[in-house]
Amino acid sequence: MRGLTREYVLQRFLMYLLTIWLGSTLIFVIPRLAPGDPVSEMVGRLSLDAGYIENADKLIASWKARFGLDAPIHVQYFRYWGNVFRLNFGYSLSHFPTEAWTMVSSALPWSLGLLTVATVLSFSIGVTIGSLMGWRRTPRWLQLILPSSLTFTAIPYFMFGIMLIYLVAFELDWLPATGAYSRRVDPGWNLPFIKNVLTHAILPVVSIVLTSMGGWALGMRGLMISVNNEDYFLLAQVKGLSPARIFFRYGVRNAILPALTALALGLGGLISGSILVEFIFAYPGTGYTLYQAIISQDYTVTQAIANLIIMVTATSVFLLDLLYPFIDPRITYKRNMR
Amino acid sequence: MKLLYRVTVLLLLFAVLLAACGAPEEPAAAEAPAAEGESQTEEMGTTEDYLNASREETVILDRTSPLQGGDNWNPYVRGSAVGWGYTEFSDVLTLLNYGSGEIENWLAESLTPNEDHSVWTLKLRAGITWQDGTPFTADDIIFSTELQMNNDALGQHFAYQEWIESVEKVDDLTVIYNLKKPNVRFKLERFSDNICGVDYFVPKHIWENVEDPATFKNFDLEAGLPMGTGPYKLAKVTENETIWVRNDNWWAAEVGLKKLPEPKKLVMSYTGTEEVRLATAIEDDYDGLHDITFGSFQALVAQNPNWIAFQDEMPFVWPDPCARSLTVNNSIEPWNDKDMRWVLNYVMDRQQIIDIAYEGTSIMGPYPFPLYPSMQKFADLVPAETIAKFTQPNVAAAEEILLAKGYEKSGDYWEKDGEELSLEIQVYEGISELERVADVFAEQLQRFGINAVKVNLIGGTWVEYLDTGNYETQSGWQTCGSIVEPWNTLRTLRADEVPPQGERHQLPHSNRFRWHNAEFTELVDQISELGWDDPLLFELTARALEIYYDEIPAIPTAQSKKLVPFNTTYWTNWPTIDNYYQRPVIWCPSFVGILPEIESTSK
Repeated sequence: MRGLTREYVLQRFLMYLLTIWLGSTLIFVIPRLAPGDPVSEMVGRLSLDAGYIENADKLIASWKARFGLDAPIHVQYFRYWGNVFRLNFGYSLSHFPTEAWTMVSSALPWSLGLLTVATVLSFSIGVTIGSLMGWRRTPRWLQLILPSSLTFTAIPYFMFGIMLIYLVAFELDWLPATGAYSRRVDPGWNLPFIKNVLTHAILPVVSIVLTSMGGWALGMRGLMISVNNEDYFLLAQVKGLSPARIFFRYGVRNAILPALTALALGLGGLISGSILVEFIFAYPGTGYTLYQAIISQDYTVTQAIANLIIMVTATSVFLLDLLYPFIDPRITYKRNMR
Repeated sequence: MKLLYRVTVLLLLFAVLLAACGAPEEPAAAEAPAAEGESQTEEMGTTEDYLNASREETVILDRTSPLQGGDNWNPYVRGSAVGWGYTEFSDVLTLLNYGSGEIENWLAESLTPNEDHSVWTLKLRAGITWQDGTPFTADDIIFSTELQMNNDALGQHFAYQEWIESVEKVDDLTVIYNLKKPNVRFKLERFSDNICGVDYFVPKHIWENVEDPATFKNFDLEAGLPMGTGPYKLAKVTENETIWVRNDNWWAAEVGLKKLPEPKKLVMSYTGTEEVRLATAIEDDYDGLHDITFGSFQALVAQNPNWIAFQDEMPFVWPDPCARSLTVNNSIEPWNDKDMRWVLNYVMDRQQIIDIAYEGTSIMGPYPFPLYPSMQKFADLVPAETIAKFTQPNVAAAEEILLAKGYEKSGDYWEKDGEELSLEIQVYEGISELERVADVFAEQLQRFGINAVKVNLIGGTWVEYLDTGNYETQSGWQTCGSIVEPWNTLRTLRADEVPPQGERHQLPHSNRFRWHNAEFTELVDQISELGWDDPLLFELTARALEIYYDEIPAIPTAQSKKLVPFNTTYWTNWPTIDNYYQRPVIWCPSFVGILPEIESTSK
């Protein structure tokens, strides 16, 4: 394989395992550093409704024993790793007896669907705009228009989401305001349901795309400008190559590499969902599930989502490290080559 | 001409197709209304019919957070989805009417004690059936009770362990509860929805076959689970909604106890943030909302005048059963000194708290219990001159106490031995009402010269600190309990001893205020054995309140409020102050008492 050595692959793989171990351990430790525990939190919430919970202390002790939270911390830690290896995170502590993985897996498709589309659109549009803004040969009129497309970047996307709901859903009545689908359709692989889901996804996707593509665009613009001054770029121009070829083969292809790295790192974000967007649009994804799990100190659900994020992010970075030499011929990991 | 005709037809077809594909979802209101003169109570519909009920035949209720664990309808485990309709639409054994203070029998024909309240006899009404037609009998009551008694993971296990010795079947409709000790409030606390909660009963013929009742999810719509005896059954669960359809064979309608409710479909729906929920309500896509702020209510009514509140003028609200108070840790300095607690009380400007924190929608009521009509006779036991010390701040009196204790005001704050007088007020994060109360009081203390800060804590931490005494004060509601009698509130302050700082309290020393007063505790124990019409109850309560107001281990801040709007576009006869047939909340078991009463506007 071009540029890859066995030593390098092994080194990256060990780093990959170390990342997962460290991340997963932190996910175990951090929630437990906070005073209190999920069972007390649960009883606290009950007493909010009922005013007083009889024998609350006995209830807390009993449920702690049931969830193993009364065991010494190192015992809990080893049990936790056993669960991580089996991808079995046990019961949700705040929604017993629903299993943590059930909660995550039912929310995951919504976040993946929503954020994959939003991220791909945002990345593609942002990178295209940025490339054009950073290329000297872009027509003057286009250079003037393009920055205006980034106006929405200045607005936080949750704020923009609220504006969209008000204008598009309630004032104009064009699209549904919130939720993943309406109560009058039956979930399933049928056309009315799919159409309904897509209709409900438009506003959240638009709010993410319009407010986040500017980040990609500005980054790409800077990268394109620096590429513009590279010797190989100037040489290509001197050689009289076609503008399109110079733009794509010599400009975009080289400038996009850091953006691809950022995209790979952002893949973990697809799993974690977009908390605020999901909250505002009442979208049943992992973002809101994670938020609720943190608030209610639901260790198992938090761990399930966080471990998934860690694994996806670490895996995509690992794969990207291996793929880099193929994307960029200048990169090699052979030690004897400079 | 022919060509023009063809093109026109094609264009029209194209337009129709576009409209079909691109049309926004029809608002539910646009669905076909019920036919005029149609009898909603006599016709029998299938689940499918009722799932397709029109907006005019549907009641939509608001939820404030998304549905999680929607496949878990086990009423005996914590964190199940029962608060999405099972709690609100199920029959209850008996039901406390907050307006009259009376307990109405529902599933029970009677629930009566023996002379010393140690044996209670339950007689069920004849003709009660589960939703699958199986008779609801004493066997179900005994099975449900013993199920919880024998399994510490279930429901009321620890309460039953404390109170119930055994349950006996006399006949199919009669059950005897043998208690471990007398309890005059057994009916009130266990079965009457005293404060938003009742003990649930489950069908023995289904649950007796369940292997592990703690992990049983009780969710199989085709098999009729979750199954109750109530007027509605669960028909559909989506990501953010539960949909319930009417049970036309509801026993209570068949035996003539209650009218079959008019709504054919009930929806519990979460639509998003308060702004989105309000916008949805303005569009008539809700019939009942959760508690909202006064500002939100004003915005709602301005845009849709069909929305009403419990009162039709300021303060609009319905009083919450849990009066608010400043929970003080009485075991740590300097707040273990009652004079220092009086300093806090004298600084507290309750009217300002009501004006700012509650936007004027609460009322002065410096009592540890709610000022319900049925509690007024106990409130009247407190002398007017005592109450006067709580209705106005008295900064001069506070200064006098501090000077007598050796404090001096140096700069912004009072000091003693070089130490600044400070106070931390912990708040359960997310309860905006209590956060606002803490903000206002902290500001009042700062102005007076006590360096007060509000600290937001997530729920688990807040509870842990409360239980282990790791707090100075909390903006809370920990004297909550009484609705028609005083003991439920007074018991929150009883203690035989105070656990050491940092240790969790253990029963029977469950006093979270860490305040111990032997006479008060003795009085509370005596009160526990008295019925609430007993003349001795008033005498003992007066003395207990005298001690409370002398020591103020918890400092009452304000009566709490709930602003729960109802929509009269499609449904009327919601409970109001002039029509107080049931408490006006949509999240408690008492809501089943509202369902047969509301009336369609489209009849």
